[in-house]
Amino acid sequence: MRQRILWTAVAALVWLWTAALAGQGGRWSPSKLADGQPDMQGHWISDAVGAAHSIEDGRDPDADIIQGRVGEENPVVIVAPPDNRIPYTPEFAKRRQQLLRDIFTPTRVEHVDPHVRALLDGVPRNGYVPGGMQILQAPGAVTILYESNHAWRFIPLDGRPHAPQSLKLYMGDSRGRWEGNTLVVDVTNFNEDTWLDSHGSIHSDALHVVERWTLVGPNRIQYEATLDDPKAFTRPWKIAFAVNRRQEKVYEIFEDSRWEGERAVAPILEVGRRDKAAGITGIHEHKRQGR
Amino acid sequence: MTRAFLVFAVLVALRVPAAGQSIPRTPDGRPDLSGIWQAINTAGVNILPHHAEPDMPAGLGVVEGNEIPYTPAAAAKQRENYANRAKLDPVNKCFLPGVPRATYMGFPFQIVQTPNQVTILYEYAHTVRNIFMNSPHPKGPIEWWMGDSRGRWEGDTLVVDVVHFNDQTWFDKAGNHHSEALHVIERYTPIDRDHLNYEVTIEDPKVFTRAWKMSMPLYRRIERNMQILEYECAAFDEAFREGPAGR
Repeated sequence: MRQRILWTAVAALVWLWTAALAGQGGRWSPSKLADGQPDMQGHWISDAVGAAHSIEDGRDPDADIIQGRVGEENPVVIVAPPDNRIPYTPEFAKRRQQLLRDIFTPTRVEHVDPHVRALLDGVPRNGYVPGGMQILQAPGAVTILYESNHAWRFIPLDGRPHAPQSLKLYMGDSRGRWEGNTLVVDVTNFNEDTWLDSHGSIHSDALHVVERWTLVGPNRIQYEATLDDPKAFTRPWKIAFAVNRRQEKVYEIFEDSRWEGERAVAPILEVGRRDKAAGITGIHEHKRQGR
Repeated sequence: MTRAFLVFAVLVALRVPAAGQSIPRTPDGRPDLSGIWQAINTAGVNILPHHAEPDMPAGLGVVEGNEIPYTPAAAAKQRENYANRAKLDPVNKCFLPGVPRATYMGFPFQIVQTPNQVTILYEYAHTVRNIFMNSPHPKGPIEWWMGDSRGRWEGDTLVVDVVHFNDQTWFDKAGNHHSEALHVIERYTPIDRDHLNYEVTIEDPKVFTRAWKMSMPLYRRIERNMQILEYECAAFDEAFREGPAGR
């Protein structure tokens, strides 16, 4: 009798252990929808919110002091090149330096972060600004509903070509396909008006993003994006972070009506113009520990 | 035997729609409303019958009975809105258009249909609505530009009950308005593959003396390469604010 209880306990432990392994991507495989797509539906939130501040440096160290987060881990999402810096061409490096000066004393709307101006964030930025996302999969397509600024993307999977190249979009033009458990999305047709973060990380209208959304467990997507832009970058570079399933039992996206309440830009410009007129200049930067 | 066969034949004949067109259906037998749709009328200018103005065509209107039953105070407010419409129309400030205005502004919209949630993606200002099926409205008070939408099927009709609005949106460019007590009931009924009938019941005891209705067909955009693009209105309005007119 005692032995039987022992064996039952051992069996239960083995089962729990294998179940845990499966959860980490070992043997786990997602259920399939009627059209054959792996089921990625639900509410998700990325763990890379620091990238919204700086894709190269992560969270704002000044905000960390206010929020009592000094010393906390601050992972950087750029995984290639190894120095975690965007490989700008000399021309774009110069433009970006000028933009960092203009962010310090903004005198025109273009000097203010498009996110603050309530414009669409673009891809991949919409994936790491605060606020999660819902993924819906009707047959033949993936729809991503971002909570931030009620942005959305409709990603057809039917192999149709991109819209004509001369057509420019804030969110770009997305075309998807499944490679096993990975949704691969090719995004083109960007305009030049979005930034990749609040630090003026710019790109040109030649930006080409290839995203890879890999379901690695019931509650986790491993996200990778390769950013190529022959006008702005000397070579393609890559970001990676995890996107986790929201754990609320019931969750519904709220209406984030950003533009309707936008009151920040006017005072930002007022101060910037006053400072500039008073001869105050500088560059927007933070000291990151260890750099 | 012959008689039974005749009855069967007649039933089969009746079952086949006249135009030979059946409506698309989802695996669970519901009408499949997926696709890109657009209203083709001038309700965005004025939901009531109206003559032409520069850059705005005339139209027969979409309101049943051609009359909106305003209270006297609300009718006066509409006249004031109309007189100052260039300045006061919330859409001229690129604000979210509300329901049902988003449907007939003249921009296409896309229905993404899943069993538990029907989402509508609108081209104008990347507006979006999530219609949650067979679930109750959250307890208010909540004031959203696009309201809170809950859906159910009545036969082949998707019925959407929308409450929790703010009082900031208009029904058209002519200043037709409502309060935060607005209650909208939309009915989307397939006519055939490429047409929906869209009927809307409007209730708002603070503004109207009784419920009233609008209706119009919605047309499928059948171009092979059709896709929803962007009308990032805020960017246009920002340029306007910054320009000589804005400052």
